[in-house]
Amino acid sequence: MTEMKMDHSWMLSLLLLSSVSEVCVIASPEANGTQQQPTHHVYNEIGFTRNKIVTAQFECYQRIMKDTSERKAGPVCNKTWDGWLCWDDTEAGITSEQHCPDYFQDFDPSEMVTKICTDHGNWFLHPDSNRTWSNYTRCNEHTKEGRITALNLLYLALIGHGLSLTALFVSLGIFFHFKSLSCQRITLHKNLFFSFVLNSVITIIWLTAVANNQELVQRNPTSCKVSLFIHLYLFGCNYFWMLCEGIYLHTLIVVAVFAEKQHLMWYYLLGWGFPLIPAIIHAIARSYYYNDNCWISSNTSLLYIIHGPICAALLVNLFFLLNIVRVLITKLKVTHQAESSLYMKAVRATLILVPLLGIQYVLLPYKPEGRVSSEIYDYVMHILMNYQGLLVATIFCFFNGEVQAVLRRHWNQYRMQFGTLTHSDALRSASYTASSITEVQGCYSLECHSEHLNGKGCHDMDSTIMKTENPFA
Amino acid sequence: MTVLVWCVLSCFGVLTSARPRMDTAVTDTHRGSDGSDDLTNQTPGETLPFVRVQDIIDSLLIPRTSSPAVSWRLRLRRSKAPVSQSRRGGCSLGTCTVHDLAHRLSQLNNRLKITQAPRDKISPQGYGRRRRRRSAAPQRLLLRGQGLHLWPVWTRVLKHT
Repeated sequence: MTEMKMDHSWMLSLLLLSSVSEVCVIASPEANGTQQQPTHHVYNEIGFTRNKIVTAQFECYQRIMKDTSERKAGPVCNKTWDGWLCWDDTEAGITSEQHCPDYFQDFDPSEMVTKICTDHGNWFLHPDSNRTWSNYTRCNEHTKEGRITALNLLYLALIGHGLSLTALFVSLGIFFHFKSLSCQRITLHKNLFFSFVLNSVITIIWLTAVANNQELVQRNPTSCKVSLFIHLYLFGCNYFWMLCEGIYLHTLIVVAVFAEKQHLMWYYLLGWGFPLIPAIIHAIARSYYYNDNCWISSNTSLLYIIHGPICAALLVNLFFLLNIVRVLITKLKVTHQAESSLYMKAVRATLILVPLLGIQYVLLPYKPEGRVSSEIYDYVMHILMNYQGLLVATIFCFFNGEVQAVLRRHWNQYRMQFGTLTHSDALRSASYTASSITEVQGCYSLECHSEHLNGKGCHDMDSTIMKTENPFA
Repeated sequence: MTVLVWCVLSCFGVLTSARPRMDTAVTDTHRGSDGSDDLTNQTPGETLPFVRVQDIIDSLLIPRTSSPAVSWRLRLRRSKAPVSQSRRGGCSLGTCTVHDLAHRLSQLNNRLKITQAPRDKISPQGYGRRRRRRSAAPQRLLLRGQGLHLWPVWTRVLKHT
């Protein structure tokens, strides 16, 4: 809590500082004396808000003037401009609702303004003042909480991406350093991890250097639009590499059980090439239809150009996951008698594959409307999104049996080299090495994890793969 | 979708055309006085001296010099756009939360907006009293009586106040 407060005061002082500096910058060329400075600043911020209000008023009066719609039979409250918002003809006894305007910093556009049309067809008069009154009180009721939530989410995102980056760098290092690990699956993992890294880096840059930097947004240089373009491209890459993982696993398990090596070229095209298309379309559409500063607004449906394909990819992945689990259960039914352990295995495999394939976004597809529920949703989504890299790196690298074996072997070799090993230790490490060598030989090889299969399903590739993916097996 | 696009386009049009004139209007009226309180505490009825609708209209008047038909078409085209406040576009998919956060942060840091909405306008004494049911009617009649020409009517309304 104190940290929070400190942050506020820090932000406030920063704001003050920067506003003062801005006033100086604006006023200095005119050299009109010190009295002018506050006027300039005040005018600057009021001008912005006022522009918006005046525009809305102008449009409202135009609407009222060209009102040609036929009168309804019953009593109706007439169209009106209340000073901030335009209200349409409303039937008597109905409460009209609109979203709050974004004229002021402390107005939350997701909240609602209400205006009551009484049973006699008059707009509601406030009993205190006996004046026509629209209820704007909800607009700034929860502003403080909203501000705290936004800052919390920012810190959550930064910490999450930081942790993810560390974990991903370490696992990429492991994958690149130990050549014995390299195989198609690991190549796909490397690409996925790399897209996670790039996405995290650009997201951190975007959140800290652009979204938090009002000066930049006001200057609106091309570079910040380019960085959003890159951000969206890499964002897409990330999800399309999850799709690649899904396709690969699905092909391996369901489609072609005895397939030779798959052609990775198509995966590269899909993972790194395809996301360019929505990113370019979005950039073109945005520059024509919603060319706001730095393209920072999320209030445009043009974002569906990016998120539509991503959502489709995730849906395909969901289908793959279900299919994989189905195949796994049928295969396991043949080999296992105990129902409970079978389902446990299936559930475990599913849980492990969920972050890899990004299924969590499909399970929680839509943001709910209410304030509290949308806030909870925001927190959950941010945790899932920002810590996904960490989770994936942990499950598919640190908990991976092959990686653990290789690491253990190398650690023991290192210890042996420097002669710090006792005799019994050496013996133990030798046995480790022996078992891990067979484990590591060839990804998805039939020898892999044969001890887990209890000799029943040496040719049961599916279970082998699931075991390989399963760190606990 | 198209509605949204229209709305945005028209807003941009008005803002860009109106801005330079508005600047002079405000600085003139507020030279020497304490501008901030004066403006934020205004009741809606008193906005008219500063309402730069006139400025907007002035800048829109330019096409009228060509022919009234052009200006009529301009008005028709512009008025297709609904008032934007009631529309909330945007992406509500789970993956969009990252854009939402960026947007919220930039909104928090937006020093161009007035930081706090004037309290008296939200209070019972505040907004909603600008246009009464009765006073709206004659004004509209007056506007209609001018036929297709929008502009002289607007200036007349402003002169009265």
